[in-house]
Amino acid sequence: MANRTQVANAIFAAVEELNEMLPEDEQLARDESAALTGDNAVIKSLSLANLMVGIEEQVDEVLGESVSLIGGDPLPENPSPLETLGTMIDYVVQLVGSESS
Amino acid sequence: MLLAKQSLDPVVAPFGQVMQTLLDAQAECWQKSCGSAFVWTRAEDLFETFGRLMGGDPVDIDSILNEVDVFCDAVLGLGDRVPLVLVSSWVWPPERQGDAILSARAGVGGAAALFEMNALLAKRLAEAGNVYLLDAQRWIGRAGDQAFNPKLWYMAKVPYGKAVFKAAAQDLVDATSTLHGGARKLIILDLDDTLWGGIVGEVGWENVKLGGHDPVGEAFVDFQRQLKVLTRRGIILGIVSKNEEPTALDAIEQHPEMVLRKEDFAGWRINWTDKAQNVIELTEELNLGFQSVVFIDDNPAERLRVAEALPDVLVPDWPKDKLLYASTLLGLGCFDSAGVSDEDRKRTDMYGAERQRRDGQQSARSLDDWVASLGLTVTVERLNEGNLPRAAQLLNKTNQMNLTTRRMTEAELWTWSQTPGNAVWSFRVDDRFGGAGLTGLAAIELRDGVAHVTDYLLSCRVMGRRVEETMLHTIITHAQAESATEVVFELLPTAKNAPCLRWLQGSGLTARGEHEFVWDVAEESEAPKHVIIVVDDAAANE
Repeated sequence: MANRTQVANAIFAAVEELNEMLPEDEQLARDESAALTGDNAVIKSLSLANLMVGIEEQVDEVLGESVSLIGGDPLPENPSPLETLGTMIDYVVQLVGSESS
Repeated sequence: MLLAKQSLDPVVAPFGQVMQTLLDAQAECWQKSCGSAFVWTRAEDLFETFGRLMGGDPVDIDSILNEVDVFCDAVLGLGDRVPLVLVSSWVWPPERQGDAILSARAGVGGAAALFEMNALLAKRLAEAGNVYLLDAQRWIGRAGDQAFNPKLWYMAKVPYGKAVFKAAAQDLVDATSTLHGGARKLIILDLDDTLWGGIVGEVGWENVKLGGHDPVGEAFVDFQRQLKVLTRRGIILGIVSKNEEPTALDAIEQHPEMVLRKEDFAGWRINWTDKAQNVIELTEELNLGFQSVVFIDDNPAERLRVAEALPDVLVPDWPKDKLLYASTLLGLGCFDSAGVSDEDRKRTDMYGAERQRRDGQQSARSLDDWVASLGLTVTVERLNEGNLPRAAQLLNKTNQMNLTTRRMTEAELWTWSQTPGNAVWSFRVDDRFGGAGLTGLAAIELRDGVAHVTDYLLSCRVMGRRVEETMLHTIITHAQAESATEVVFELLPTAKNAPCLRWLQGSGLTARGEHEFVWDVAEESEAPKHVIIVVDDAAANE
């Protein structure tokens, strides 16, 4: 079963993959406080879609767990996984049923 | 997407506005200085008729091709405003499997229509010298089952998976580099376990693994075949190998399944000294820069040595698996070309002739004696429609003997040459060993009674044979006829054109600053001794 660190690493790998496709001023910081939506977000909606697909792929590839961020159940609110990378990590941890480390 | 000049800083055109953007020269995206444009479209979105065919309606192919024609007109019009235009071909949507038979059936099938649309697109775009078609099917093929992601499509209308974009981006970078003179020209090869299997010095040429009914032997033959194909496009081959030279050359000449023979190699260093040093010597012998070189060796230690010593040389990771040699070579993506000229096809022969010339040079008493022995003829032509393609190719590929390294497309060069006061000449070089082809280009711009040399470039293959002086003489003679007072060479230094500066410093021109050299036109210019200069007036009048 994947722990929070493993999930975070998989998500950061997806961030790095996304950043390869983006100009420097649109790249997402590899930081849990990095905003995904809202006024403080540097990435655009197209990049967010790419990130979510990338996270699904990385979690599947690295952790062997299948999660669905797009096309599955509606995403929760308060907190929304789309607030920051940290809330996204927490949500994916919850989806894979992992224990925090 | 537009790629702004030099920086590859992309500016994205408005969504869904393809024809409007192509046709509107005042559109916002064109306001930034734009060095190149990339037009990537999906046929099912762009053409109403094709979209209807995809939807199952009967549609006449001619009506689809009429729409394609209009699109081609718009792209060619863009080529008049932007120096370089790259256009993707159309692909069958990767998410739609379609029916194998019906889809490819002429008159009803979408895939069949795409064949004809792409054929027309390729034909029409070839009308312009600065508009190039890129094969988008390569990107879909490389992406495999990652070519389409339904989540990206339904969430963000992204029609392809990111693997397609990565493949496209790589081809864009490679194509842009190629068209700006960045393609590699020389492949330096190791021998043992690179061109054949085994150590020839230990097992003898009869026992190296090459050809036969053996997968590894066949893989080496196939690798050699692919190298041979590259030589027919103007890429030259060299050898740097730790071996006894007679033993290695014997294998090349004697082994019945060798595809590459001695005459396929422009030069070699087969000895026991440091490979990096040998690469330096061979590259210098062939008058090339390290940016032109690819070094292929199965031994990672030798690759590391060359890569560290010569960072400009491309040293690709080379697979241990011999069966992957040919595909690895083809995947390097650094040998592309906008076209293949007669000079390209004959380049290896020309280097063979050059070896004979060098042998003669070693026995000649002086440079003039040697030039005299060559029986050198330089044919001077004004730029015309016949020599324009090769002239533009030379302009965009020459780095070392190049005054300004100005890059222009065929269309730009032609337009520039037709401007009053401007003149462009090409120089074709022949000697008793064969023809080197169109290898020199000079251009001047007359301003206020002064002839400013805007381009002065010569292929490294004919440097040091008084062709430089012949070109200078041509320029001065023209300046005198135009009553100019002086001829000015202003060198724009680059990392590669030090040979041009060295020539200017010893040319007889007067230095007026570190990089400016002048000739007072009142002073007579003598044609170089022992060079027969043929001025092709017929070409000049075209």
